[in-house]
Amino acid sequence: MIAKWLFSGALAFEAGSWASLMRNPSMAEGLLYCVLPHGIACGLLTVAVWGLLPRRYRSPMPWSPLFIFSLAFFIPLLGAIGVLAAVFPALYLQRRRDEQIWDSRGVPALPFRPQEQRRSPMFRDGGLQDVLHRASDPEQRLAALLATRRMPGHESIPILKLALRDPADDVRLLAYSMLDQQESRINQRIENLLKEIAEAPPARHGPLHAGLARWYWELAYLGLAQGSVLEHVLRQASEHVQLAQDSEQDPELDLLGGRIAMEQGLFEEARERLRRAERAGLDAEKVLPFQAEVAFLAGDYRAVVELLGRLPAAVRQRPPFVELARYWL
Amino acid sequence: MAGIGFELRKILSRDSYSSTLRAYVYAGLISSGPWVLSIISVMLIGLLSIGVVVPDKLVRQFLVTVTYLMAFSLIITGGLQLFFTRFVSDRLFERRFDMIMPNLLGILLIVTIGAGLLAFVVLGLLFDEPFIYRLLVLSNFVVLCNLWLVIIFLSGMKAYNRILLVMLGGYSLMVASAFLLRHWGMEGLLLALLIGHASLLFMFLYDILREYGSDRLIAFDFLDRRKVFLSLLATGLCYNLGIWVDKFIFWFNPATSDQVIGPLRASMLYDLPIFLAYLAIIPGMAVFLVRIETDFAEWYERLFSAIRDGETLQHIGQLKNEMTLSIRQGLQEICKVQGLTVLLLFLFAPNLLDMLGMSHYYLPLFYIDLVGVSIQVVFMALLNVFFYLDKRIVVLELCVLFVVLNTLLTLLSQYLGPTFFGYGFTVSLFCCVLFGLLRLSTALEDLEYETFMLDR
Amino acid sequence: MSRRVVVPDVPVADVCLLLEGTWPYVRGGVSSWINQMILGLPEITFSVFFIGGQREAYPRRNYEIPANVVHIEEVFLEESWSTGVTAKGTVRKGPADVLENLYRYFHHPDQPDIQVGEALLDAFAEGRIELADVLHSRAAWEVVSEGYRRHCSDPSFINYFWTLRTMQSPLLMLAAAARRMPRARSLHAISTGYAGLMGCILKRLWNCSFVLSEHGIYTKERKIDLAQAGWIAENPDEALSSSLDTGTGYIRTLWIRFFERIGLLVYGSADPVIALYDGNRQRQIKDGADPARTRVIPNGIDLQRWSEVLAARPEGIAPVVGLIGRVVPIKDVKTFIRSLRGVISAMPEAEGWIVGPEDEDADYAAECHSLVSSLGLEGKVHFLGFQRIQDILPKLGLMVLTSISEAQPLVILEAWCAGTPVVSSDVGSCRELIEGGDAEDRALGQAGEVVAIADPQATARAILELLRDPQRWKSAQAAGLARVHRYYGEALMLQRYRDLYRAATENN
Repeated sequence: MIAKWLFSGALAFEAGSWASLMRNPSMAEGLLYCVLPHGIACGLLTVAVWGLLPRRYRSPMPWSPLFIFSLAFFIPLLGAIGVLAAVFPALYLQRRRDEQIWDSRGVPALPFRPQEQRRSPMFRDGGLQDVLHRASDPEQRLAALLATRRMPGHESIPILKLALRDPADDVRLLAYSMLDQQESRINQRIENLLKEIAEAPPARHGPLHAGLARWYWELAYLGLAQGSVLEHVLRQASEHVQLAQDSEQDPELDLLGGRIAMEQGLFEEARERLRRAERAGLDAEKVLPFQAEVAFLAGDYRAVVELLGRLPAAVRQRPPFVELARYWL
Repeated sequence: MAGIGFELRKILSRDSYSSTLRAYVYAGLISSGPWVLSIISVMLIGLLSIGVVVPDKLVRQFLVTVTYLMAFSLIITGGLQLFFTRFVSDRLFERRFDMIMPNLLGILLIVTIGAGLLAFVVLGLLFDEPFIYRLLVLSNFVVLCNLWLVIIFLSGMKAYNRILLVMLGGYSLMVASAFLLRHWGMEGLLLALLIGHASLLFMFLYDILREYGSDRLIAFDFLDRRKVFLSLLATGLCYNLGIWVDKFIFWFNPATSDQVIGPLRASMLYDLPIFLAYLAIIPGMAVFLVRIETDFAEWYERLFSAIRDGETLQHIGQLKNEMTLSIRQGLQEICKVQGLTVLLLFLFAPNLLDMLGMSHYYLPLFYIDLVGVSIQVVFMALLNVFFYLDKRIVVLELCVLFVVLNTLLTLLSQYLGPTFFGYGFTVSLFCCVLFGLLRLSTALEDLEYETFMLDR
Repeated sequence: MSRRVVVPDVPVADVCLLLEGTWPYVRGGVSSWINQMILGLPEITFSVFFIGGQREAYPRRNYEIPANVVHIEEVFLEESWSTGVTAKGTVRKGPADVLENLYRYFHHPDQPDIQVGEALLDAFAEGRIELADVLHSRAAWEVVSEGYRRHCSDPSFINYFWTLRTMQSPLLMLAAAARRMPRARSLHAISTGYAGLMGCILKRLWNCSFVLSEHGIYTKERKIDLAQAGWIAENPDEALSSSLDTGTGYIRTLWIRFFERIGLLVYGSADPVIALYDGNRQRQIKDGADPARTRVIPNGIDLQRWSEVLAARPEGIAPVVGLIGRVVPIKDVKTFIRSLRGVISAMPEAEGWIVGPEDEDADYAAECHSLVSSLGLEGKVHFLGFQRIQDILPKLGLMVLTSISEAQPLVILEAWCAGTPVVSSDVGSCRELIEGGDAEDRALGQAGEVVAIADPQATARAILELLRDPQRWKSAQAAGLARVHRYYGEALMLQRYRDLYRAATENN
């Protein structure tokens, strides 16, 4: 409503200004009869347009209305038209900035990176454990420990534990800090997952429990937990497997549960879970070895023969099964 | 003009004869399009008006007014252009997209008010022309100042096709309105000019405002000294001043010029050849764009990625050599192409002047101007390379040298007589290019030292 | 810039202490020892030069400054390469010879000559090289790129470049600080490393004596830190490779070499070089110290204060076994708890006490608690938290130390003062302490038992033997008391250092 009055007022003043202009005024006359009405017209227009702008563009004062005013004032008529026809609509019709998901790139050249010149590995008969047992020079024993950095966890941890009893201070401390680092890393992950479970909606709990189960199992499997801590960890792992399976059935989880139970010495439960895994469709070659192991631990040797016999022939010819097959079958 | 390299590389990557040709044509259009369009449309307006607008001298007054408008708007906003583009590209790099629109409108606000008041004072005090004339000149000035900033902003945003098409539309509108309004004499022509430029400005603004949103309308973050480079203000000012100063000297020397309208003077013998000569740099600009923005830019990127990503020192040295080679080749190619163009124009100049109805007295000046503007292309290429290497102080030095030399040598040429007219411009550019090449070779030699040891 | 070194001629203190990351900011064994020294030698005036890493890591001083500390100067090394300090540099030429020496001494694979080190120290002392030279000069660039071409096996130049910069900048910062430091009559560094290097520079500047005391061996500790450090940029190929690799990467090697060379420089400048026990002394000799300059001055304990505690001890052998220390993995509390299982099974009246704060590693503490419950030791093993050691020790029948690593644990000396024999794992100087060092010391007898690390059964056996055999227990107690009174009294330690300082200040 007000805008209409403002627009009409602006138009009137502007018309008056142009009328004066046509009469070819002098400098002073021009200022008074053209510039002044023109200024008032621009002012009215500014108020009208500014009032109609989207809220966020009305600030900062006083620059926002001043901008509109200056465009309209210093560019007579065309400025006003421009503000109304271009600036004003554009501020309403702004395009949303979309996340650029795709980006086109050229085909990169083949990478060439010079390799670091590495010293040749220590060639010794017998492995790193032998070095730790027999080498007299602490530097060699240290080097053996450093070599375990590249080894998978379940191979390196026994070596590190061996080094914990080394007579040389350096070796012990290095082994201790490497073990500590590995254990802390896993404990950190467990802590993060526990925090996530506390904050996540129940729908997300299934995979989180599965993750926790796996990390607890990792602690046990790597031998980082011993004795009663091992029992505690296995119990936690088993609990989380159960919680994970409450939300979604997963034969892999059954397999894991079976292995946990086997470690705990609960052979019936282990057998049950492994059978469930097999029924759910897991590959035979994944499940059978563990079932055979459970049977062996439980003392049921005939079942061992039967289970190993069910292994596909191709698998039976590969290590580590080839020796087992040779003995049992 | 950074992102154009990517477009050109896309075209060139198809690696066929036609695609290379396409790349050069595209580059030529992009680099020269805007100002060629403006020159051509103004000339068209002039042509259309001859015969309709009487007396004839009004047409000349119109053309001279337009020239002065262009000159002053470019000089005044030159520094701001460089300054602001750098500000915007830094913000883009930081991914602060919300700062772009408010600061653009902020600087436009400052320019509008500043240019408006300045023009008001100048027109009020120095001119005695009819009110409408002065009013139209003021509006045109304000619009032009805004327009340059907006155009340079858009080229920084890689919107070249948009620029070209909109300009085509705007200038067509200008010529059409001139055709319709020429009966109103000079005021009509100026009004047509205003219509054309204002429509360009608002069409561009429409696009920009639609594209970049924010949470406020105006911001003045570019006034924060920590975020900007003041040397760029001086550089832009000196560069544009250097280009126009020789013309000013000729315009305000009573012996070589005459008064056209109000305090505005023009030099019959000096203006025409040089503006014609400027049209001849189109091939050189095309080559400049293609070579510097593709090859050089590519090697530059590879070199600095190698430094960041941990390549060996020897590999970094090799990449630097490749980059140096690409600069050398680029400059050589510009010289070759531009040289060929100059040669051709030398040969055909008499016929060209006949076609345009100009006397052959202009020939010597035309020749020397051709050489001068060609050297200017090489100069621009050098400056661009220095901007890539972020050697802002060297660029400032070169531009200041350009202004000083151009002024002194042009004055000297005036003192020495008509045979030496035009040599001021050419020789000053030549010296600047030589000096620039010297600085470039030391900069490239010390590149690793400076990058690693001095840049922290 | 004036190259003339202007140092006030009048010394403001007797001894300038050069400390790195310890007193007065960080609580710990070394800081307490320094505090003990300063308070125990009130007639000697000290000035302190403290070197830290980041300023923010040291918010609060944990020790009061005694009256005989007349001046404290602090330097934080990280500020030498933080971007605030080194703004955009300007081209400069730089002292090529000094920069080459710098590289030759600290980074060149071959062991450097002594002269190179001495020339370098002279250059530092005289101020012939500045931080800006290292960071911005052409000569530095030449030396670094040449060094890269000749010796670096890691392809990444930028890693190498920044590693050298990070190593060299603090040295220059220290040299500049050295020139500002008010003079003292002698120098005493409590570690090698940056503190020791500071001592070398100051010795050159002030032409005075320079004493070095080491608690832990700095170079060894840094080596172990670096072997595991995650912040060292690794070659990505190396990180992804799966072959066994005994190498540690060139950047790590550079860092280890750097600290080793500093150690060499400090051992060359300092006289005497003091260790806490002979094992450490051997290590110092192995690392390059001149055997003739090395000495052993063990820690000392305030015997007066403990005589009442001894008197408060009840008759007989209390069947209580205690571990006094923080509940952290390096103390290996779990082995102690496991050994208690064996002890309590054989001796049901026995009890175990774990006396120490549990807040440093809450997870480990929780694991220990759960270990106690899973071994069925609840009610038999108690976690007492932090207690006053004088109250606890008289109540213990035995003190047990199962740490994986120690130097010279003060707690063993305190246990003996209170008349408690000690069962300890064979780490650091524990064997020397319990069984005796030289022949005369060994003649005093065994003040407890030394067992292998991480061996719960052996520990349990040792505990049971001592608790069940009153004869042996009494002789262990006597041996402990005799040993601590003869060799480990605070008065003895303070006297030794007093003599040392006197000799050092007179030697000017």
